Amino acid sequence: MIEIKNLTKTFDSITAVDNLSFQIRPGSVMGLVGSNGGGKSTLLRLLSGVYCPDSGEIIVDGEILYDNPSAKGKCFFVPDFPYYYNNSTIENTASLYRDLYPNWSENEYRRLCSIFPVSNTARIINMSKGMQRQAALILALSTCPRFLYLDEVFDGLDPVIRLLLKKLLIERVSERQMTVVIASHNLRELEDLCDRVCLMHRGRALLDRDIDSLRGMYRKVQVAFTETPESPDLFRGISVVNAWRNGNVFNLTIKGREEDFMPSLNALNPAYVSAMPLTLEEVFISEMGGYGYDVNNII
Amino acid sequence: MTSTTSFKDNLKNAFSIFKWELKNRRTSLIVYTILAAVFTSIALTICLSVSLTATDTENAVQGAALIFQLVSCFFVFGLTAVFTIIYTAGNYSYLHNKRKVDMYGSLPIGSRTLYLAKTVSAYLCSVVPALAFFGTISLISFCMGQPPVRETIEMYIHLLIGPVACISFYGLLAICCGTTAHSVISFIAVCVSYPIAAKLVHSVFRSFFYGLPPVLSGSSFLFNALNPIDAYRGNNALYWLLFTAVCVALGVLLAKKRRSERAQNSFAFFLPAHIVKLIVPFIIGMVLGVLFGSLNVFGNGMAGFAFGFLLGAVPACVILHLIYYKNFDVLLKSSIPFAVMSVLTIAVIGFFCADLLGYNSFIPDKNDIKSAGVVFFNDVSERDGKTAASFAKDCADDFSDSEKIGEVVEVHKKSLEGFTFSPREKFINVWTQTADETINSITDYHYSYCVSYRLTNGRAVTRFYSGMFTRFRENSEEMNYSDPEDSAQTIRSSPMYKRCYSGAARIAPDKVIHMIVSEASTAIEDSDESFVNVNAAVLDNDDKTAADVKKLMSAIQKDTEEFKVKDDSKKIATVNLRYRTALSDQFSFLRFLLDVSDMQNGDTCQIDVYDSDVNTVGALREIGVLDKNNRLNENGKYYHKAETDNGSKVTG
Repeated sequence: MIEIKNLTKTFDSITAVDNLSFQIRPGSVMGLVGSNGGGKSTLLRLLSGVYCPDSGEIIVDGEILYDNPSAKGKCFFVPDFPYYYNNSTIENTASLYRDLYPNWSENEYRRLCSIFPVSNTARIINMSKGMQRQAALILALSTCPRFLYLDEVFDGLDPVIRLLLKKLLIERVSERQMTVVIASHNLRELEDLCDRVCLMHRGRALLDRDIDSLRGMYRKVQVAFTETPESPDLFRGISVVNAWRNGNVFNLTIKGREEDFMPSLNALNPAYVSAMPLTLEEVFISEMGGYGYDVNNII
Repeated sequence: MTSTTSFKDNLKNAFSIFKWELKNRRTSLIVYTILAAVFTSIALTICLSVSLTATDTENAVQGAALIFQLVSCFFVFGLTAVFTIIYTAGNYSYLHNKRKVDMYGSLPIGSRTLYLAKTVSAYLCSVVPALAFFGTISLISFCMGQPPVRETIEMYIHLLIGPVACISFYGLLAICCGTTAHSVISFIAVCVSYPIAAKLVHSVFRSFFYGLPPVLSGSSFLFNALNPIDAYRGNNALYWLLFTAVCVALGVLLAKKRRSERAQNSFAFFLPAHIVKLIVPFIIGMVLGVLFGSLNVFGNGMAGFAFGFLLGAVPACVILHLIYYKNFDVLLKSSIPFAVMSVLTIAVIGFFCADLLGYNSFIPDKNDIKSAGVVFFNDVSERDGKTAASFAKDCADDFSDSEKIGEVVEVHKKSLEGFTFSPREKFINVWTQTADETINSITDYHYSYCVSYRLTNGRAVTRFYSGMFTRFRENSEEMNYSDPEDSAQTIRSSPMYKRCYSGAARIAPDKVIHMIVSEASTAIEDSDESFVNVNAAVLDNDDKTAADVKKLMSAIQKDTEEFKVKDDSKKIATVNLRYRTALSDQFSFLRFLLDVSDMQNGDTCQIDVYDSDVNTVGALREIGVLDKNNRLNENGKYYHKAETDNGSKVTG
């Protein structure tokens, strides 16, 4: 169990994480999404003990994490740009982790080396970005962490490896109750993997929900009229987040459940109405728009 | 809430980091090994080839082994110093490179353990390969008949102390700095600027207080206290060990407090910035201030100094601020120590200039003097490690009769005659003091003397004067050294003075290179080179004569101690001896390469033997130098017949 209590981290005048509090259950996969500079990577660095919180605390299985080797031994952090020495290979880097991580599994390491198509004796810095990422994942999973933190892990991975990674992660989550926190802008991938999503903007968690309930929060609705009613406030009483009109056809993003807004729409006598759930990306854009972070505002 | 990690676990983790460091430094260690091995092989090949062509092969091989040993060790020493820099900068970059911070920061190892492990690996990676090479070189040399000489063993020790002190200091700076560039700049700035600043301060004191005894020797740790590169010279080993311990302790203390996010920022702790922003502007300000002071800018040396100091120090401080902080933010706040330093410097120099304490012209009243003494350092042949300050301190109790006290006061007065102490002269003298190798030459005693008083109130007053201080004279002429020397004739010829400062009393027999005994009538002067022109007895201190040399020296020292010479004593012989000094014993690699024989030169000392020196006369007879009539024994084994100008021998 990870408990985050009133966590704050500032860099000079910038507050990267602002009074954040939540818990992450064992055996869950949490997605961290949000704007650039929203505090996702900083949160991961705080969770892995790289940064010391300015205030608040992170408690891992009952132990304060920062500068605590015993608690850090249960965690593994794969940053967005992992560092490798010039002569580092998977094999010689494994020798370091083998000594330092108490749960290191040699069987797991051998198995992962055989699964991922990368050489464990080749110099890592000569590998492509995707292969370097795979090297990092082999090492990370071999430490059998109870808490795995992945920053932009899907970057550079081809679709097959992405699928393989997801499979491996799900396997470990279900079998060993491993907790995974993934920060990514690739919402499509997160959608498949996460059971919970935290949306971060300017250091705050705007939203922290199970992915199913998150999807249920919004509906994408298409409404067509034979003759559009002349009314300046056509959809009054309906929580329309976004609307786009093409002749007599309206594409709406509505916050709320279908049973709540459908009667109001049907009352307008539409020729056609259909509602479907939003993708995570669409939810992200809708939510961020609510905080003034949308394309129109930026442009 | 926080579980504690056992010492054993920490040790295990530290060892893992050490193994990891070794793997990552494999390439540079291989390069180091290749370079050292190749150079050692080249040196061995050349030395052997040259020696095998010599006629006296056995001695030639041993000589070649000595040269091989010294040259190779010297090269390995230099190579190690260079590689230490490379290792060290890379070693602590885990604090400065953001990607490395992610890697090392997330490892399950405490920040202090990590810092200590990194430091120890840097020590070992620098020192162990070098010692392995030193060992191999010594072994090869030993097999060639030349065991490790003292110089090689000293290099071993210097090699242990130098890198350890440098690594520890750099480690501390690296903890404080946010980037490797800042760490390197700070390290160089502190190492270079501190000794200059220390010497400037020393010069100011010596220039503004005429007669100030040289309390500090040139090798004092104070001159290089923040310059660990000096530890490679092997001086002040104890200080450097303490310095290392303090740096490591501070580093460990700060390692836990240090925020990882300071990587690639300017500083985690501003200690190096404050040090550099104090020392460098101080130096530049002092140089410009002393220049303006000595040029009498504004018609007043002190005003010129203050203007010059600020003109130099303020821009230097601003430029350093920009280098370290990149902008003008917090310029004023961070410059408070600089401002305090500037005000203090100008105030102190002003105080010194005014000589409010009257130090320069002070001569105690005769009635206030309990005892007094004077030492001319030209008379002190062998100092045996005793400093000028300790001579000065001891001589205060030499004479308590009013006649001798008056003579000391007279010497003191002569020393101050014709001198001016205007601020301008003082500032000019700072240049003389700084540019000259004065720290050594002052303690080198030549043309130097001291007067010292014990006052009736118990206070001691000591003044040290040197012929070097010419700048105080109004007409800038050289000081007439003979004036005070002449005033002290009675003192210099007194038994007390001779007993205290005679070289004979201080030279250890094993330091004697040779002794030349000549009759009083044909006594040779200071140099022992002229003995070929007179009849003399020559004792070269080797295995065969060591016992006789020891016997003679013991007798001389006993007579010097007892001092029975009276006015009617008859001088019967003169002993000129050449001996090894601490300086000639000190190894200089360059001197060794340029002139091997120079190492043996040492110094000379002349001892007059009177008939009242019964022990010496007895010993001279016993070893066959003198006959029963106290004449040179022509049948003695040490007798040497004089040569004429054309080289033929003459009878005595």
